[in-house]
Amino acid sequence: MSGFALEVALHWAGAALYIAAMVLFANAVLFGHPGRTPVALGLAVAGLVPHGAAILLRWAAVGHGPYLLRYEVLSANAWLAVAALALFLRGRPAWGAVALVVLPASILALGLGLFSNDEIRRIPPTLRSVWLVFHVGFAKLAAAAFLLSLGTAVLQLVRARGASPRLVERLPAPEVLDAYTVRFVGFGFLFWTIAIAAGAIWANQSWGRYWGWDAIETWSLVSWLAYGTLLHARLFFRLRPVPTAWSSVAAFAVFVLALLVLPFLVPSLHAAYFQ
Amino acid sequence: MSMLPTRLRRALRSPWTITAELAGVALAGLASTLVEQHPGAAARARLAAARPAAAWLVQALGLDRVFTSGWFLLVVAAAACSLALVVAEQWRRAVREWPLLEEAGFRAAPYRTELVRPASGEGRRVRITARGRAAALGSPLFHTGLLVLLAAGAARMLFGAAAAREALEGDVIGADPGAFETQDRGLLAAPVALPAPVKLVELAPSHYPSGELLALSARIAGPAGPALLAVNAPLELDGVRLYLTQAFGPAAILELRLRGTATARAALLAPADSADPEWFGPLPGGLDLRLRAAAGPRRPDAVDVRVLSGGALIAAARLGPGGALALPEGGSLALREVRWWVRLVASRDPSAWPAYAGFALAVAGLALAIAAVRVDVLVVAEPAGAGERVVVALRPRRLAPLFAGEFDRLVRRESGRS
Repeated sequence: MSGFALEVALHWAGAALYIAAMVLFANAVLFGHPGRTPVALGLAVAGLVPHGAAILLRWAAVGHGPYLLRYEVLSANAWLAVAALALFLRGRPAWGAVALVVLPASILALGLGLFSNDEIRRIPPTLRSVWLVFHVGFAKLAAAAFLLSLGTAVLQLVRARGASPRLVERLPAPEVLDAYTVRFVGFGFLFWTIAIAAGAIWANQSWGRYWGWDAIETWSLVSWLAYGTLLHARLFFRLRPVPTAWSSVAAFAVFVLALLVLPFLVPSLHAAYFQ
Repeated sequence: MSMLPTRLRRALRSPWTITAELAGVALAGLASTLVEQHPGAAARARLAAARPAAAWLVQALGLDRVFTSGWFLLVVAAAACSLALVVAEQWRRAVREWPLLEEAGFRAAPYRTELVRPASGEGRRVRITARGRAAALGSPLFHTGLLVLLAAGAARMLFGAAAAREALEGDVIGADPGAFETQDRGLLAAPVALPAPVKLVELAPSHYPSGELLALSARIAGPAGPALLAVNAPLELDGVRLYLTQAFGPAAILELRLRGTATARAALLAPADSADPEWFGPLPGGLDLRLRAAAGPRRPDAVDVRVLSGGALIAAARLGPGGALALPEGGSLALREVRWWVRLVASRDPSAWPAYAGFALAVAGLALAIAAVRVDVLVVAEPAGAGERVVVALRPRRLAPLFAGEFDRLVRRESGRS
């Protein structure tokens, strides 16, 4: 088996384990079998192994981390999101419902990556900087934290919109869901700030300006403002849990627009590296 | 800020004003994506012909240069004022809230219980502790960082300047602003000029085995002697930073001799980042020139030359350095040499370090504000009958629902059950 075929096979093995984990999480949460949550978590963690190996194989083949092309970036983002989910669920079996949002989103990201351009592209001179590692690494951490906040926000909305009482009693209490939504948004906001700052320092080193109103730069700022506004609205307006959850979903939409959609629609310095 | 009238201060500090300011910045971002920025006259005319109402709106609101439009600068200035007020208020609050709480401060604690335990024989004791007090510095530090960043941005807009040019190996970049082809400078900034002439001696590209560009550096002869300039490694020249971009390619140095005219010398630059460089250019006498070089990481040692007149091919040859091509109506075209060209950028930006400081403050503040939570704990024990009545209270400053477990552990410890 060639290196690339092995890489693809490992990716699919990871995806299959994530899908199995998702089905088991759904069974545990929707049909009231909490004892199956640890098994589902075990499957998700098992999926991280072949998936991580595929990322490392790719890393060795192209000579750089998952910084270029949708194939590499989305796969690594999905891995980090599942890893963050596993870390969060460790010791919190009652929170298995979060996986019903995070796992499908991660599987979708992985699938989109697997069906996109997988050519080997070498890293150009401007990208050969230590700031790239901080910029991209913290953007991935931000994506993972924001995805977890989306998970808790969606559960809050499911609760609020009159899900069946049996399902509701299996979900965490609204005030705790709300606290975790804000906590994840907070950490995502911190990581996103570091990603933007590292990108600005790097831009100054490469091009002689730390901010250039490039389309993706601008939308990163807009998504940063969206999450910043959400955090401040909690403080200023004492935003209630349900509006907080809706705001979190809206801010996540802006974040996805900035990170995953606009690079394909508008000319940008970032777009060339992410096709 | 205290000089501002109270009503203005209140208005700037209002959450609604701040929300409007943030929305203004977001709208500018949206406009910059939807409307072409800094279009040429032709693009403007096309829009005016196709959609007159949209063209009027774009013109009236400056949407095609939105980040330098009056309304955007006004929004940013208002945001800076709001931020300054917030920063002043937050530092005052941080100082006010730094000390330990009094016993009365626990009346509103979300976690509070009373328990009875065996008597200890001591009188009334009050123990008040706090952890995570540094969290109080988080928000003021973060907002101070943002304010510094805004100030740095304003300084860049006023005093920052950048210039760019394409340079051939062997070119000397003079110590005057005219040495650059473009100048982009702030309202109060002088044009960029190098402090002393700098010679671009030689470019050294290196490639991956696949042919993609791996690194690019240049040997420079500057005022302090030879130096190395590379992509991502700018050169500091007495307040001006010189950058090597990765836009580079081959350039043909040509000599054209037409009957009855003086010899003309010209450099024709291939487009940057071209895997298979092919480039065009006009020649005197209404002739057009097309050049093509073999793809590869090394400087091409031969160039395919085609000369056209009125679109018809009149001469063609593969020329090496020193080779010449005879033209049908007399005269000749000679390829003197092939050199690399590269785009150089020079910038003078007094705001870079303040901006870095702003980033550092903002990140440090945010890390404190997000990762640390101040938690105040009160334990009051007093004799009550044969035992001791204990009041235990825990007051997290935020995210209270996440501290239920900690409060349970505290209560168990105080009741002697742990």
